[in-house]
Amino acid sequence: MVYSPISLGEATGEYLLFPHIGAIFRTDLADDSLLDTSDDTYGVDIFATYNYRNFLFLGELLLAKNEQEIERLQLGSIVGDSKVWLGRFHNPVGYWNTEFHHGSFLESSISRPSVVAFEDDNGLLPIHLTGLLIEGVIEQDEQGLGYALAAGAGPELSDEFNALSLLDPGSGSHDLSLTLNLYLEPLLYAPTRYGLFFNYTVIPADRIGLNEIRQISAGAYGNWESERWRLTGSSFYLRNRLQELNGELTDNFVSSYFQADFKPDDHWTIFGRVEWTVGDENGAYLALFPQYITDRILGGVRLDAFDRHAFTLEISGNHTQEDYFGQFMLQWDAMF
Amino acid sequence: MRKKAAKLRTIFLCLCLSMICVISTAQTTQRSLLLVCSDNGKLESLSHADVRKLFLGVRIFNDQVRLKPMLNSTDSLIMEVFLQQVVFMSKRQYERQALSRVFRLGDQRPPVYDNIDVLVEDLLNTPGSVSYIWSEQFENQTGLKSLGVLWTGSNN
Repeated sequence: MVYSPISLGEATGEYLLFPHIGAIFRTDLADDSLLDTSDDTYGVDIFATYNYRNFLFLGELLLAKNEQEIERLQLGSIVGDSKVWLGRFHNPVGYWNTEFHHGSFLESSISRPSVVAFEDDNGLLPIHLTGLLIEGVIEQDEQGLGYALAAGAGPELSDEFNALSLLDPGSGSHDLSLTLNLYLEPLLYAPTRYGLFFNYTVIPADRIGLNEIRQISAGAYGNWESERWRLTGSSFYLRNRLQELNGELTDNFVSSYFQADFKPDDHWTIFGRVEWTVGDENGAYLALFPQYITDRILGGVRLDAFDRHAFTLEISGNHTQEDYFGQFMLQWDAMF
Repeated sequence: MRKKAAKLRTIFLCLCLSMICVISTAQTTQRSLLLVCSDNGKLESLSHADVRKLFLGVRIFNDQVRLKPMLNSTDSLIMEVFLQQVVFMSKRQYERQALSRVFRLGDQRPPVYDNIDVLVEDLLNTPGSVSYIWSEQFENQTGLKSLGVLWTGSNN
């Protein structure tokens, strides 16, 4: 028996389905909170790659309760040692955003760190760009020096961030976003990686009474793995210039997270994460995202069973600017 | 004095016998992991570093033919040994890393074989295909050639 990606002569591809069903319960919500005390989530993330000689294709479609979106659609080619992509892709800002997909099968935790939350989930950053992405690794003996350079259309800000939608490309107003991510792999192509990143984005925001927002985010990240442990952390410095008709407001803050995963055996993973924000927590930019979680502490356990099924329990304490609430999440994920 | 010499001689003989037993036992369980491909192919050798990269999804060409890695999982040990000794990862780490590369870079994971006959058939019929088998498995196959020893060790 062969467990194989699909192969048609020189053409090869991967076709994967990631269904999920989850339940969320919240406690101690403020009376005027926009969040519900309970909620459910379900959906399927459909992922495909296709390679033919130097031609590359990568697609990710999310069909979920509250969202149906082509999350990634990339056409690419191999040029020298680099991969050059055109299309809609995950902005290589930091580590988490390019490492994981829209489901949570690949993550230990159910939730993402709030600083890399998706645009439509109270995210602060351009998570998806549409344009050009060049990435690769320069081999230096046993080490790798990786790079990713992205230039594309970033999101628009209305009541939330709206990345350019491939299903409705003419909607909204989108401006330039540029990202550079450089990293070191101490052992070439191994999962341990340390990197630096920089992003500059012009965010059209006339729907909320601003001319635009000029955002710089920069920071560092690391992911260290052994047989039983995985430690992942990142810090983001954000500087936002909100340009109004009568002047501009500027604020700065640093948002960070650190997650530790421990795998005592092949089935169980115990994880914990802390997230914190320092700086202008009450500044003008964060005021645009009242549900953004500025500080969080969470813990959880994941059981991998029945060959590619995962059951995860996650409990967290969450601070927004105006609220503190507890959250209890249960989720089933699978990969087919 | 004579008694002491005799005792020492006995101990020495016992030690020698023990050593012979240990060595002979080790020899009977010694096995090698070989890198193999079809003997029709033009590939003659591949460095350990390139083998590692190939099985992690990096494109490697030989004589303009893209090499295609095939994971041999025909017994419970062989894939673990290959991944630990050549790729420097546990099976769990490897699977996660291979999947991560699919998601980040659009790579493909190598196919996994749990039947040696199917593996050998695909090695013979797929240009550029490369895999690894135990030396005793190799002796029973025709049409394959060894590109070198990846690892030698004992079962114990």
